[in-house]
Amino acid sequence: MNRNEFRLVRRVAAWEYNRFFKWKDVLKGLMWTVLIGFLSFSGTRWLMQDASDTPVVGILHNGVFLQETWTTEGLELIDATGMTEAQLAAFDAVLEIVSADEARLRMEGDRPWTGRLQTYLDSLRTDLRLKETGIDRALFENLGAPITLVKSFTGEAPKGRIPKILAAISIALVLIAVFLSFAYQFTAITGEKQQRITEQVVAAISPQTWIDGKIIGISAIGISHVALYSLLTVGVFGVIGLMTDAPFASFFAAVDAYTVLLFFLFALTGILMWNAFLAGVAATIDDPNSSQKSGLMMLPTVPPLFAFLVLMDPTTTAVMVLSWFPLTSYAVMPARMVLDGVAWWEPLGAWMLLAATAWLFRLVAGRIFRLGMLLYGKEPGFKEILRWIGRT
Amino acid sequence: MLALENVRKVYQTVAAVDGLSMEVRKGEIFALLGPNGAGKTTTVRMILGIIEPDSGRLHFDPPMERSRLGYLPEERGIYQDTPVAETLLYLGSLRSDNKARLKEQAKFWLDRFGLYDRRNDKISTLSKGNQQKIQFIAAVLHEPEFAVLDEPYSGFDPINQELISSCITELRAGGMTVLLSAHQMQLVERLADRFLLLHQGKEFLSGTLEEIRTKTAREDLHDIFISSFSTGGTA
Repeated sequence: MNRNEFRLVRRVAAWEYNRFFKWKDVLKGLMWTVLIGFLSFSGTRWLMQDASDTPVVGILHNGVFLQETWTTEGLELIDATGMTEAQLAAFDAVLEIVSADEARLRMEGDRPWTGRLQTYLDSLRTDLRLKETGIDRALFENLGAPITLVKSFTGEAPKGRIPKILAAISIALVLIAVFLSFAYQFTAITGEKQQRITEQVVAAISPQTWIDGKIIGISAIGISHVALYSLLTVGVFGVIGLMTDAPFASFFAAVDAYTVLLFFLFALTGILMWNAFLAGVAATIDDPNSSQKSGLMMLPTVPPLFAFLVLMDPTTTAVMVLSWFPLTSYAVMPARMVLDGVAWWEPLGAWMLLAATAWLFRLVAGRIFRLGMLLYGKEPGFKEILRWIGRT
Repeated sequence: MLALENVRKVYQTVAAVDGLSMEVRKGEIFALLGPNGAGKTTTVRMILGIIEPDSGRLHFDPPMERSRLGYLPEERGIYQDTPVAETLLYLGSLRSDNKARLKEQAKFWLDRFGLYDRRNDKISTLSKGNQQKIQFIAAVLHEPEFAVLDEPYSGFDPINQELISSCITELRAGGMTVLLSAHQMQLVERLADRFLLLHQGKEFLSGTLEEIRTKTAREDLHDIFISSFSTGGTA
């Protein structure tokens, strides 16, 4: 790519970026997000407040549990023995204890607090049986206690929960960036084809220059959105952390500059690679509403899903292979790096392979784009596309 | 300035352009005429390097960079969701680095077409005719040396057709070479210096209007066109 082409690529990239990434709209979107978040939070609090009213349960018993007072957290239990039906109707529920093995609960509908009542009755029954059999409570608890298993490692100790959460967040961010790019790339290219803009542009610049600019500009939109939401998330969690002493500081402390840099490098290259793929596919689509090729556009979302496998066990052979394989490495290698020790040369080698594949995708997409963008009214078959790719 | 020598382009089994040779001279308006499917658009696309000829030679003398060409395609379309001036400056910037000059030219042409007040409006809010004017401006904004105008009159009413004609004349007077492809014979014959009538991808007739009149013994291009092509091009 010479200097003039580079300048044109930059111009196309800026145009594509500014066409779709508008600060005014982004801010409006953020305000909506904040408003919806506020409404959700307020609504949930209101619902929880309603649910937190302590339910009152009337108890009809035959003395089997020998209780003088009935009490458990979160429930108001009242001895209702001898009350009339009219008086019982005032309770949220009526519990009739038939025997030590059976109790019947009468209420208007199922309620979430019945689990607490069940636990309380279970403990009453256990106490009764222990008394009947003369078994000491401490002995009983000891019988059911688990063995203490202390782990020691000859290799590197596994990471805790925080790195796992960080890895999951990283994968999710990449997934969002790819999804957003998918949407914008699809709109940009099929829109240009449908608006018949193509010929005017390809007479001015080469299709490769045009597609390069599109790939960079639209990838930048996905990355901008992700960066913006990441910063906001960090800001919001930071503020909450300061206000509530929540342990977010340890969360952020687990992130080091080297990991962030490598994550960014892999994510950026992966997003560029898949954008090249998406641009090539979109150029072959004539009508996005009926094209069978639209399904192919979902393919880039598969690697991040593979990456979630890493969270289960980062040491399997499959994970090792996927962290090197260029179509999946951009999501799997960063996750593996966070969760499992990798030699320094592994990310380097995987990234070089990924970058080479991204470059190849770019060239292939350029060839498809060159012929696909001028094809109106019909879609090429896969054989024809392969022929285009083979053409120099 | 531009020469085509025995140029041929085949789509599957159909020869869209079949051994065409022609020459466009510097500073002239050259009209490429012919019925639908005669091969005009394929010829134009090869001249602009959008498609490659299968055989033959096509060259500019002196060699011409892409950025010195202007193009109004027959397959018309423009970005709909962006403002008029911004879109023009973007399309101009793909061929020229001189931002200030592009801005000057955009102002000049928008004024010329009575659209300067709408420079900040989205193109989608303009009428179809006004959108066509924007596309015409996009083709000449960067002051190309050689402009290819494929069906520049399509979509315009007679008043605006006259306006486009006078703009093309002014561009030629400013030193621009224009290759024109159109169906409006009366307009073209007043405008062009030389003509080439294409039929089934081959040259059917060529020369100045006088030369063509002599060859065909007919007065105007419209008659020549109708009499030649309504009988399948055998006149």
